[in-house]
Amino acid sequence: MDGVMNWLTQDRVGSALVKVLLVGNVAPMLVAFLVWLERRVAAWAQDRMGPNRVGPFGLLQSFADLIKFLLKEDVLPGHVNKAMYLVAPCLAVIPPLVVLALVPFADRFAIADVDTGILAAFAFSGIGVYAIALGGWASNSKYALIGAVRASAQLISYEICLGLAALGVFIVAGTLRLEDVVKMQADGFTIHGETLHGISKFFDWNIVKQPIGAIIFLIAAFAETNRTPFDLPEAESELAAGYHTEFSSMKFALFFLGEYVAIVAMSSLFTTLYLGGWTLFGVENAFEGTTAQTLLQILIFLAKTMCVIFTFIWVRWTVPRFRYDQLMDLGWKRLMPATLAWLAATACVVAFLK
Amino acid sequence: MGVQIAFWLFAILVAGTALYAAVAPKIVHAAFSLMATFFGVAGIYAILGSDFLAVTQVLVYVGGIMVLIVFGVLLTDRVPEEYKVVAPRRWLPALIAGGLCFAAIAGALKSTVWPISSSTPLGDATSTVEGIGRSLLTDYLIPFEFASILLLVVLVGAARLARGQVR
Amino acid sequence: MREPDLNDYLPVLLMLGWGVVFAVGALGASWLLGEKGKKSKYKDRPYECGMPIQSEAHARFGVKFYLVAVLFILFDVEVVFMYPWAVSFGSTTVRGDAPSTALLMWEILAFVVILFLGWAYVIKKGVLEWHKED
Repeated sequence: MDGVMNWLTQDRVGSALVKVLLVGNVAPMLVAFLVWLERRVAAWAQDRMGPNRVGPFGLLQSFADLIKFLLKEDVLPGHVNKAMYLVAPCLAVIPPLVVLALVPFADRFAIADVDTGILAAFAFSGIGVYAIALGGWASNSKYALIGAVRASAQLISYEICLGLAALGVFIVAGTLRLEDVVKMQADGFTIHGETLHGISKFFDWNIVKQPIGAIIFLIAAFAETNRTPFDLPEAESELAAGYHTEFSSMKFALFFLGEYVAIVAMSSLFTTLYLGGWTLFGVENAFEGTTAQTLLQILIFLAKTMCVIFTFIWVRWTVPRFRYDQLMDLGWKRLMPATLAWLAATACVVAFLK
Repeated sequence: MGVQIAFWLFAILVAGTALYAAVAPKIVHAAFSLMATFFGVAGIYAILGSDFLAVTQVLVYVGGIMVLIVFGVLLTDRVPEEYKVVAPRRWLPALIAGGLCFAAIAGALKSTVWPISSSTPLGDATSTVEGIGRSLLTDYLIPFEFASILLLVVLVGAARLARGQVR
Repeated sequence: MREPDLNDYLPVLLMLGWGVVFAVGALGASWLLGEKGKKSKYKDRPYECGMPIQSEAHARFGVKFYLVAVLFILFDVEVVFMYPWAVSFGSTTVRGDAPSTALLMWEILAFVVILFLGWAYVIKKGVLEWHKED
């Protein structure tokens, strides 16, 4: 077992392939669980039962849904642009999966640990906009088209805020490599000649050093994943279902899956950048050099990511949807100058206090 | 050897998709072909060891410039049939003009002496990103600041053009 | 300098490949297993909540959406420029090279202030006023 883990943590093509298959399969599984969780939390928030019939606590509900998605008629309507209509759902799933490939889940356990780390992640997550734009365009339907135009303008607007907000972390860290960013949050900084230990290492996390940046990053992440309060692309009261109105069976399922994988990817990035990644006040080194250590780190990472995902769900059932002009104003007129000011403040503090 | 194979794969991808982008009858197909071209160029940058440039290529071209093109398609009426077809009889002049351009560029490339430096220009930086950042802000500071002025001019221009529509 | 190792990026391509296999596989499975329905003219019409369809779906949209895309590219380029700065700035402070740190800070402040002027102009001209009719 230890041999297997050693092999997995070394950079080789074979181990990379195994890790790709591992993450590429676990992520959709996790999404199945998330959909169930979201529905249960929604029910809890609204004081009703939620799915509770299929399996214990309704846990198998998502798998029943999956079977239904597979068995329903695969409609290819006559009014759509066929090629793009089929390409769009694929484009919804692929980019967030690639982003997951860049996240370090444990020490030396990123699928691809690259120098350009976060920029590569942003580059690929930015491609997700084409799924929506093309899905709406290929559908040749009014609701779908309006939803697509709204959604793509929203996504590109908040991409800027996302990039700017994350920049603060890298001013502090001085590297784009995500593994180094995680390690920097764990080594503990020194105050008055005393290095922080134990639980006080919390003050080394970037969420403490970059609180405003973290909040703006989270808001932009909500907008990037089309979550409430930014779910205008699929505002069902005005647009039927938005850009995926014309999609059914598996094609709809892929859009849905892509959206949730994007949530997982964004939450992982948030965990990595602001919550110390796979570290937990030194607990992560409990089983030094063994398989158990890597597994423990992955577990810590997953636990933190689940907390962030829970925030996503919690916010969805707490705040109402924005109006479109409010959404654009928030992005361009409030968040952008706020982020720039925060960056300037960070730079001043780093330059003059160190 | 692996690098050679990768180079040829990316080169064929770039050339093929660029050609299809030029002759594709449907604008959306042309746009998507162009997206593949941008990806191929990013791949070639990566082969040359410029990982930052490769990622930037994906970020700015695939994720940015392509958005403009796709928005252009998304926001307009459907293009009437008569504009779609590339008139076949214009193939010959296009081919000749293209060939001449290609010959000129190939000749220039052939006759230029390419000096290859053995030292890396980025000094003791730990990554290409850091090296690029440092040389941008020291040796190439003036062009760097001019880039922001250029962006400012474009911003002002875009705002002026749009105002005509808003009023 | 550490040469960038291209093998680092290979797994990204692998994941890209897996994504394609996964998506195409899912669509293929649904095509194979899915119920084969009858053809119907109603399936070949866009869904508009049951109302009779009045016009083509494709229409002209406000130019503002296009402007958002233009502004996006400009600020995207700005952000891309700022990342190498952040990295070299951060690593200089880690090394404790104080004078060059201050210099680096003023340089980027000049860069950002110039762009901020552009942003202010765009806002003042009302390019991003969404509640006005155009």
